[in-house]
Amino acid sequence: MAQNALKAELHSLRDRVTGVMETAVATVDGLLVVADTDGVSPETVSALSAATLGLGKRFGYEVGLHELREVVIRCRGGFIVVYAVGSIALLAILGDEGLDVARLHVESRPTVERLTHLLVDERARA
Amino acid sequence: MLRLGEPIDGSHLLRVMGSPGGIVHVRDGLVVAATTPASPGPESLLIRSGRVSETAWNEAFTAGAPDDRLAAELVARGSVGEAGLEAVCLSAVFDAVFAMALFGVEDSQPEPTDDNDVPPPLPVVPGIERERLARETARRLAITEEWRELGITPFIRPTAVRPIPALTIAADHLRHEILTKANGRRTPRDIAFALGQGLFVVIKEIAALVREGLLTITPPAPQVDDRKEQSGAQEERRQPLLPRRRPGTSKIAKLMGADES
Repeated sequence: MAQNALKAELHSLRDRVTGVMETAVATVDGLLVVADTDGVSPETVSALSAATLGLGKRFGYEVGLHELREVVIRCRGGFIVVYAVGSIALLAILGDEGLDVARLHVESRPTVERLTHLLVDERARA
Repeated sequence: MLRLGEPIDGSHLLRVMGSPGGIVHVRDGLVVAATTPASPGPESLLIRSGRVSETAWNEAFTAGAPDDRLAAELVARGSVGEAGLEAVCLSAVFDAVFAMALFGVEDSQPEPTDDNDVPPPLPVVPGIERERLARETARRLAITEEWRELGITPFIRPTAVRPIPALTIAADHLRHEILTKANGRRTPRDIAFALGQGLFVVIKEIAALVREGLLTITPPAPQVDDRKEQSGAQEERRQPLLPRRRPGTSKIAKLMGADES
């Protein structure tokens, strides 16, 4: 059931933010939890997002820019955005080049909070 | 609606509030550019559609963008003809304003521009009179309103009725591409971005394809996760939501191209 709740969060984010194409939730060490993907391999997205998040956090601290907000990667065909979900997981978002980045940053916060609750509750039950 | 009927004098930005809204750039009383997440801009139209190569775009951007000469550089390098480029920039503005209006506009607010603002990279020169833009937008909105009877809205996620017919004549190229992208996940706007085509053109083709029965707009049955199906509900309760890593099972080394050893 919790799996469905996580999926519902990902679907809702795709509906709310223009340009969000595919999303995945993974553990901070890169294992897939749940994905709303189309063409990409969710396992690959999970593994690379974990590495990206770790690198972003480390970089921020090393250069004195403090806590990581999110990692945003811009490519020719679109964006990759990675958010930390508490200290145990991450949310990876793939968007096209029209992604409404400003809207994403506003809408993703409550999504991250709800994902954190779902995952933390799960861990407490386990 | 966009308040394009209001006096637009001088040079400023018109910030359009909506979902997703956007920005209209006004120079000397004429609209020179419009950007919105709801429709592809000139860059997407040129590169995604294959009209300009990625390399040519990068070279022209590096050489021309800092001096506001991107269009001249693209033409000088032979990437695209002057008339062709003007046509793409012009249609991107009409498409962007139509897209903002179609998705819904709550308000619009003029904002002054100053010398520190980065100008739009590919402006329409000299620009489009606001009356012409408003007239064309109203015309397109009236047409899309008729398609609503077919159930066509900006929020549908159409699915191709399989099998997709083989491409027989070159003129059907766009229709064929739309069918291959219509997998039940993408909205008309998503398909427009994926193909580097204007939103209005894509919605128009979608309406025709729905009418011909080649596209369906009823949402597909929810995809069943095979693993979940096998494990069953009881199993699901026992399985932790958060997976645990076991030594030696990581695929990352392989993904990164490392040797098996």
